[in-house]
Parts: sequence; structure tokens; C-alpha cells
Amino acid sequence: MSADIVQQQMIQEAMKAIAERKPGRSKLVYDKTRRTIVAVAVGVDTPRALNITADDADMFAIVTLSSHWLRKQWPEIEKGAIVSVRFSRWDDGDAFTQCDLGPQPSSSIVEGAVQLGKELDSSDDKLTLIVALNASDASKRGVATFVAPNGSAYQAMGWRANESIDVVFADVQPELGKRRSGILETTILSDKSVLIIGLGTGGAHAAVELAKCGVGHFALVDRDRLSVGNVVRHPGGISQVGRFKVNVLRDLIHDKNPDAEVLIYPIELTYADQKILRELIAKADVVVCGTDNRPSKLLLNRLCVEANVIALYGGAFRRAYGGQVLRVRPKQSPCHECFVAAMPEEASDVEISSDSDANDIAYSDQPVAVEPGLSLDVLPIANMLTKLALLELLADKPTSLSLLKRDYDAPWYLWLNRPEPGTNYASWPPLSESCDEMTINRWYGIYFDRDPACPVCGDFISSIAASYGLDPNSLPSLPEEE
Amino acid sequence: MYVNYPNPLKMANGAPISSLGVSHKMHTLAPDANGMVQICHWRDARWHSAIVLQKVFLKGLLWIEAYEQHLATGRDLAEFVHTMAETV
Repeated sequence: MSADIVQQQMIQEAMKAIAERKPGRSKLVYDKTRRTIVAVAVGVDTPRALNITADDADMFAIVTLSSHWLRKQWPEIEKGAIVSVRFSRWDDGDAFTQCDLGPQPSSSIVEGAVQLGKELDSSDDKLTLIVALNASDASKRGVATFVAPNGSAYQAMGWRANESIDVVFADVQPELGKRRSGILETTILSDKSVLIIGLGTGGAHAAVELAKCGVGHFALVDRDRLSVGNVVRHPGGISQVGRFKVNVLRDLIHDKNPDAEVLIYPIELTYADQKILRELIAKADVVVCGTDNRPSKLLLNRLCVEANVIALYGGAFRRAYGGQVLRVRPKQSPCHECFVAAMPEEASDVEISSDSDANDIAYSDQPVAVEPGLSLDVLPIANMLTKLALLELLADKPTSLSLLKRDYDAPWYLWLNRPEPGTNYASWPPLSESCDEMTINRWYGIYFDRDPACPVCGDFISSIAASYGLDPNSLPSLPEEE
Repeated sequence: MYVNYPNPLKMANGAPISSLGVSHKMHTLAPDANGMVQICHWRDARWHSAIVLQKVFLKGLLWIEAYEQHLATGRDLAEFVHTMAETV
């Protein structure tokens, strides 16, 4: 037997052992002197070679195909049709991912086709997947197995330029649901709607996190486009710069929850748009407000209280030395107007993260610097915003998170990243020295009362009349608002 | 809240107040297109609906008094009137 034939047999033995992940009589090594892969007997010293193991076999390229898509195409494929499909080509051909799986494909697309066990010509660049019945034990079915609508199991192999590529199947929704199932039932949030207004760092992170939790319906409102400066904090990246934030977030949500309905509104939250805002609020189970200016928050507060929809307002303090989240349960807890009246300093302490934020409070002879905080310091606030939204969405559903109702019953939550000089928090003790005093890096739920004279949720007219000794019933009625 | 007469309204040095634009030392916001001075009371970022118009008019009266002091002394108007508090 020639040396070449022996080597070929040893290579086959070694590859079989690798495929079965069992020890064999031969192993593969990379011979650094000859710069090629050779097979050697197990136990032979190979000081000038690198071992190739079963783990290295996982480094081979892989094709990922959607099970959901294949089930839909199956009636045609079963009849012998060749169905076209497109793949994102990633990392110099290391991975081919079906474009239908997500909203953001690669810049390199490969045309492909799926057919049921037939001869094929795979000499060109087209990626052809041959699906064949899988006779293996049902208990061993994994990601490489596709279960057809009739219950039969199939495997597939990809072919491109006469080379084979392993194929795995992605069953997206069941897989995503499985990862949440310890805490949330698979579809418990799929019928819930969240309106998110303001897609800066906080609002955008809340949107993505709620998508990961399985929220099924989103309405997104923001007029801004993503800029380069946003990228150090925003979930959107450099490749998204210039796009409206609502579009960026729609894609990010679909990348996490492909079945979510996402309605987008590239508009500003202003009095002029209150008609459409009222419509959106009426459809929402919870409203999340991530805007950082008072007029928009107060307008939204009024509309949400009128519609009796729970709203959450999140915001960072200047340079994100801390932040706060206010939850408004209309007519049950203080509204944002009550908050401003009760704590004007806290309500005015906002992050100046853009030129427009600075212009809102600057004077020509007293400029205000744009001083955004770190993403790291905004994310605790975004997380709390998301957590409170999640608890409100689950309020009528029994889950293991129901236990948290007692922990999150305050209307206002305060967080500090650092004891900022010049603030009421500058004298807080160091984290390591305090047991029962307030410190940084802890959430504080704080209670305060509704303002009975609140113009939004209280009886403002009666209170004003009383302060002037007037009987409110003797006052002429107010004109109807246009 | 605008001062519509006289227009232009001048500072102690004779220059129109509107030339300052949004000015902290003279408590003004952006003048209107015809140059009328806008008196600063509560900016959008500090406004809330519990601030009654009575308070806005009060700021107008205070501003006029402070303006007279500015003309008499040449000192900044901001030295005679404080920023309006946000509390109701």
C-alpha cells in the first residue's frame, strides 16, 4: 500500500473520529514544516504540528435557515419545486444567514435555492441547500434537524462551488420564548402595546429591552435623525447614522423580536400634533416618555391623564450624575404637574445632551455647554424605566414578577451615579462606609402626595377660587378648547 | 410678553435692548420680527401650567421697575430683579 493511500485512510479515520467526537486511531495535525494538514497515529509525537480537534471542526462555515420560512415553503418543496432564497454572507463566507431571518442583512448577498434531495450542479457561487430525510433517532434532533409539517424529520446540506457547508435551522419565536420562559410565559406580552416617545439613549434602550421581553406592539415617536455623536450612547451604530431614529429602532426591535408590530412616527411631541398623540395614547397599555424637555413631558402628562393611561417619565440629571423615573397612574398617583410643583429643582435638573437642549436654557450672555453623560450612567435609568414599564404591562397577569409590586409602589425613583458637587447629594457618604444612609448606586423609591390644586389631575379652578374667597359655582364656565 | 412701545427700547448706553437677543443681564428673550423687546418670565423649559398669568404680569411690572433703575444707574437690569421661582 502506498504512503498516499495510507495517509488517505488515516485522514478518513481521523475525520470520522472528529465528526463523531470520539477518540480514534488517527488524528489530524497541521504540519508547520510542510504547511499542510496530515494524519498521524494517535500517540505519535508531533512537535512541529498543531492538533486539529473536534472543536476546530465547529470553525467550519455554517448556513442558517429559518424553520418558519421552510415550513411555509414546504408544500411546494415537497412537490419537487426549487425555491429561491437569499443569504447574508458574513465574515468572508464563514456564515450564511437567511436574509428573511432579520431586518438588517449583510452588504454581501448570496443567491440560493432549497430543494428536496436531488442531484445538483453546485459549481457556481449559488448556495444550494439539499434537504433529505433524517433517519436518526428523534431524541437526537437538534438545530441540524428540520421537522416538516407532517412530522417527518429532515436534514440539509449546503453546496457552493463544489464544497459542502453544514446547515442549521433557526426556529426563531420558540427559541426566543424558551429563553424567557423561566420568568415570562412565552406569549404573555405579545398582545401588549407600548408607546415610546423620545428615542434618545433612555427611550431607545427601553424599546430594545421591551422587545427582548416579548412585547408585541410598539408605536415609536421621535423627529430626530441619528447623528455620529449619538452613537457613543445609543443602541444604533455608525452604520445607521443619518436615519430617523424611529427607523433605526424599528429595525433593532425586529432584530430582537421579528414578529413585533412597530408603527413609526417621525414627528415632534408638540401641541400641534396632539390629535395623533391622543390616538396613539388611546391604543397604548403603557406610555414611556424619554424626551428631555419640560414642555413635551407636560403635554404628554396632560394627554395621558385625560386618557387614563399609565405613563413613565425617565431622565438623567446634568452630565448624568444621576437620574429619575416618575410613574404616573392617573388620578391614583401624583402626575408630572404635581411633580414639578412639588420638586421644581429635581424636575428642572436635566441632562444637556444636544445643542437644542442647551439653546432652550441658554442666554446670549450666559451660554450653556452641551454636557452629555456617559452611556454607562444613563443605562441604570433606562433599565428602571423598562422594569417599571414591564411591571405595568404584567399588572393583570400572574408571573414571578408579581412579587415586585410591593417593591415598586412609589411614584418617583431616584438614582445617583456620583455625589455631584453643588447638589443636595454632594454630602452623601461613601458607598463603602454607609449602611443605612443614602448613597450612590442605589435606587430610592420616594413618596409624595398629589397636588389637590394640580391643573391636570386636581381641582385647579376650585383651589384658585378658594384662594380669592370665591365660590367656584359662581364663576362663568370656561370656553371649550379648540 | 412684549414691550410694543417705545420701539426701539433703548439701554442706558443708547443701544437698542433687542440687539442683545436672549439676554440674561437684561432678562429678555428673543425679540419679535419688528424688534419689540420680549420680557423673560418663565422660559419653556421652566414653565408649567400652575404658573398663573397673574405671575407673568407681575414679572412685567417688576421688569419695568428694574428697567427704570437700569436707566438711572447704568447697571444690569438683572441686578435689580431675580429670576422668577418655579414654585407655585
